[in-house]
Amino acid sequence: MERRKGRKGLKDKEVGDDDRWLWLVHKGIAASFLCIAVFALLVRVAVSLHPYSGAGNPPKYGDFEAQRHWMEITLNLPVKEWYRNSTSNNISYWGLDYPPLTAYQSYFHGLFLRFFHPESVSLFTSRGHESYLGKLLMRWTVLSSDALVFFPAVFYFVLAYHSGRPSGQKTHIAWHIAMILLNPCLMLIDHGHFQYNCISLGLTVGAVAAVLSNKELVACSLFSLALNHKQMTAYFAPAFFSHLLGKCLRRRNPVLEVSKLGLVVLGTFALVWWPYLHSMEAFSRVLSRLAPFERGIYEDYVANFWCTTSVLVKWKRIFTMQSLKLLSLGLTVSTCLPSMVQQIWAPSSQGFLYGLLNSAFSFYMFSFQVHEKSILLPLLPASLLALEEPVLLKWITLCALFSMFPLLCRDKLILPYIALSALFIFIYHVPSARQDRKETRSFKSFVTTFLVLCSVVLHIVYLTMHPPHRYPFLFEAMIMLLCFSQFMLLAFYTNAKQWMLLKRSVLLDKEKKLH
Amino acid sequence: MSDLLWFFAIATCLKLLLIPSYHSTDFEVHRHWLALTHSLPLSQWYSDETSPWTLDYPPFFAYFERFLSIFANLIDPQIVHLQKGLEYNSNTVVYFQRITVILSDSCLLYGVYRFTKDLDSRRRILIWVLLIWSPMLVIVDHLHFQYNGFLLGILLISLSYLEEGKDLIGGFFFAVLLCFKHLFAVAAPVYFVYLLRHYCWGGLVRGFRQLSVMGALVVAVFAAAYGPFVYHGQIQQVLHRMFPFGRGLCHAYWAPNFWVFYIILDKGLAFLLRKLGFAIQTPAASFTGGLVGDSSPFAILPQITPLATFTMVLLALSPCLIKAWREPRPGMITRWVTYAYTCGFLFGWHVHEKASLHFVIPLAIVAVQSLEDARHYFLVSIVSCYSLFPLLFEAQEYPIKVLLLLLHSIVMWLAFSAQFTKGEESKATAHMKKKDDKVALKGNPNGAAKKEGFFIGGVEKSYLQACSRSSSSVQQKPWVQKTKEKINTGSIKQSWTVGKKTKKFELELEFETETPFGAEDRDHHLRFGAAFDVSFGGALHWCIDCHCSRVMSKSEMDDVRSFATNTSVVEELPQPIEGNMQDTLESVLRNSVIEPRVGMEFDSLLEVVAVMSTSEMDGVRSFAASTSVVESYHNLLRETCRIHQRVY
Repeated sequence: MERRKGRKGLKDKEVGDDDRWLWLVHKGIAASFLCIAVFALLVRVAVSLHPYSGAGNPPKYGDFEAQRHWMEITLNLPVKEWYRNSTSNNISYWGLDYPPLTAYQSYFHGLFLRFFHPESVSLFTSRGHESYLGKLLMRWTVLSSDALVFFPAVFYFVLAYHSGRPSGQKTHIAWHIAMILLNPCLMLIDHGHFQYNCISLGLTVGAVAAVLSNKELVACSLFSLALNHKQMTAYFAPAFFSHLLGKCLRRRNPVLEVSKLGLVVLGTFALVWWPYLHSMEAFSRVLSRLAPFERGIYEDYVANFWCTTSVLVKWKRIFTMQSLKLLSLGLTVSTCLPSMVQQIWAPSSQGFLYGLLNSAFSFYMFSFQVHEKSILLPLLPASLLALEEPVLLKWITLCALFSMFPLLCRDKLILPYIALSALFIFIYHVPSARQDRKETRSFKSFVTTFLVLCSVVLHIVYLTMHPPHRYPFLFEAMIMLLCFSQFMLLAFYTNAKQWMLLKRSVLLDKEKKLH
Repeated sequence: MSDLLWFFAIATCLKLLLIPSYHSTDFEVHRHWLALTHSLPLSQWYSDETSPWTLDYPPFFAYFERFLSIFANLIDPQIVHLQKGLEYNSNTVVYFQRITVILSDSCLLYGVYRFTKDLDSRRRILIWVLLIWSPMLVIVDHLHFQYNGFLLGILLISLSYLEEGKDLIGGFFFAVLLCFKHLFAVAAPVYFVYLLRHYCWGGLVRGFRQLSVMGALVVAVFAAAYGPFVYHGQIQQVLHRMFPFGRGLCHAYWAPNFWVFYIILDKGLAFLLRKLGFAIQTPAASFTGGLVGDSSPFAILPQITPLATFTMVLLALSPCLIKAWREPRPGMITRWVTYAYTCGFLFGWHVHEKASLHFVIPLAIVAVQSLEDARHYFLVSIVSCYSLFPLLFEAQEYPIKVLLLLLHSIVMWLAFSAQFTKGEESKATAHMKKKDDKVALKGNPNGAAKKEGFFIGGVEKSYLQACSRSSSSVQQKPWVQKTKEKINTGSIKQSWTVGKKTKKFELELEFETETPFGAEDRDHHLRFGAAFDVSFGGALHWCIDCHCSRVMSKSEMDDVRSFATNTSVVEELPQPIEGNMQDTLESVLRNSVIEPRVGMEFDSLLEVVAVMSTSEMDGVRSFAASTSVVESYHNLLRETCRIHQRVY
């Protein structure tokens, strides 16, 4: 309300917070988190009304069938049979190729399904099972995992992140929470396409929060669990490794600290892999399932280095599989090396988050066998960094959404795609007194307008036009090219930004010494 | 406005996501109406029986469906095919119909906008959150499928006009609403009494003229709706379809109203008496479907006829009608209409549980006025939202309805506590304020003013001063005495003679100020009061005053004076006061006619005070911004002050 600006204006300035959102934040972080979380859950439920991947599409169906099949296998076969090809477990039909924690999770969810709807998880007869209740129960397993793993982890992260910072405006914290929880890509993939990324990403967020609050041992075990849920989480491993190493090196007894962490990691791994540790053969069988090198260096049209450059250079023809493996490994390691070095040299919370982003980016760009969905991994640290890099978050989210557009089209998820993108943009531009709009130079605004225009045109073209017969994947390739160039740009920017942090900290150190 | 659009956009995203969810038979009903109105001539709309879902809404709704069917035909002709379209359930029809509901919600958006455009930002956001994100509307409109958001939007538009004192337009929109859905007629008695007293009263000739204007308008609306059907000789059929009294006392899902208790009582008594050995026949008819007159569905208690329910509703309404007759106050109309719909819901014939929307939605507007109202709304909205749960009986929507209610409760808890719990400590000052007012009422303003450090509802006070100056009867009705967080609310009703004209005005004010004014503000408000009665004469939208607390130079003074003469807003330039704060009312008034002397020690050098329109206020604002003289200005009573003027 308009106040008597003249005499009482000073009081207003002291209050500071935006009056509009006072109701949301006045009860503290927990209350506003609760409110936003319930809204986020509601949106997730609404997304889950839509079709899943491979719905009504025999014989292989899609990820939904894969997850359901894993429940069927884990529920009906003994633990040792899970990863082995046998008469009752045809590995070529959606064989388990995720680490054991996913298998355990499938087992528990399978129990839930069997309790309410036994037909949907019975051995053999349930192949390609599709029913109203079956879909619903499966959807609810994802929703509950999201609510039980991802949401608490984000809450922990928000508390850890904002406790170590000068108390900013509460509305900013609420906005930050909304940006993490209402990430359109994660919602579309988990609740639309059907996957359980919320678990592995949730565990990762928990580990990040533990790192930020200096609980390294907890962080190690949480991150090991995340790795054991989805091997893709290894995208973050260099950042965790370098940050924790850098931190340990600064302590009084580095060797002891490092070995403590190593023991925790090994212990967690041993616990998860326990059923497969009795023989080398069983162990290596599981391991070989986890590294599907036979599937080629990339899948579909993913906006990474290999796929994009394959338009010009036919990597698969020039190199053998073995040398491609080495090449991709070398490129990945060398690209994430700078950020690792920075973290070992000068570990900081801020740098750690940038490091996560950079290592995830370099894996997405250069590693072997990358999906479109893997963009979720760089997206996660970007959303954690939302308050520092709002523009980056917006850009990367929209770009990631776009890169997944062909996939979501196949899944018939265009409506939620549009609705969630709009929701993201609206929540990003929430009406408030937030001042993060830097002055954009005309060149920059020209580039962004051009990019936005391109992507809008490509959306429409993709939906309405048929590609020429000679190049059936022309539009996919164009989308890929557009996204790849932007991802590269963003990756350069974030790497540079991480190194700038170093410069700033050195300057600060110098200042301290001078004074 | 852009903020409001933001809230609406967020809701729209969620609504879009909900498109593939379950929809009830109402979906097919509305689809059939599209086909019916598109493929049949108007004369057969109300007599067609291709589908059991015959048209039973008033004509405007039929026209609305006809309008939509134009687009439906463009998108997919099968939607509007009378026979082939039956039970048609493809993606196109689902998307089309769902999107029409989403788009028609813009009517609600406009209604909410009209209601909140003069409110302070916190209340405004509160109302937006309650109305635009109403879980009940989402459940009924966007899951179950109906067009309630659209219809309630019209109701809100009508109420907002009434609250502004524009009775004619308000009445017009209500008539339009009745021609969209006749179930809204429950509030018609309240509207009738209110409009009669507030709009058509006052002198035989004038009253009759006003009455005939209003009557002509309402008749015109109804003629536009029903005229074509009268022309085709269909009016009997239309009315028969619209009022199906054969449908039983309760709807298939019992609305949680009075008759449920009645039925339970009947069952319980029958059970008890049977146990005691009386021979009680089990009634053959059911409550929900059975035809009236065939046999009573009740075993013991007397049968309920439509007439009985009608009388009950009127009886329940009577206190509110009497109140509306005695004091037709625009600020109360929303409250009364809400009350009327509650009565209709509790005692009406064949009430749907969806009818609870009719009172929960307007109640949200009332809820922001005080803590008491907020408490009522909190309870009522949660209970009525819960009562809608049986509408969505499929497992898929279960989490949606639970989460919607949960979210609504959390939001209400957060928003209401932000609005009302802060500033409990100011209760004490509110008490003091009351005392002061009493003192002021006794006509001894100077005595009251001399106290140091008291808090009074400054504006209230200043009006009182103005009244005492214009020497007329003053009657003060502080209808909300609970003062929360420095928000002072109150209302004054007064009448007096202005100037040399012998017209008598009645002034009714409901106002709020956020800051309690200390003694140092007194002079200023005295001045405000003085300025007020000169420029009085129209609806008050904005008041503004400018401050300058330093000594002005000659040229600056001239600047101000020239502005004052150039604009029509400042009818009288308040003069600087010579002296200090301890001046009495008389001395202030005396000073105001003395020619200003530039260069003296003044406390407050310039004040521009006026009652003006928005554009005029912008003019004053820009002047205040352009000159270095005005150090600060504030909008006094900007938000919720309204004057209703009536000439006897």
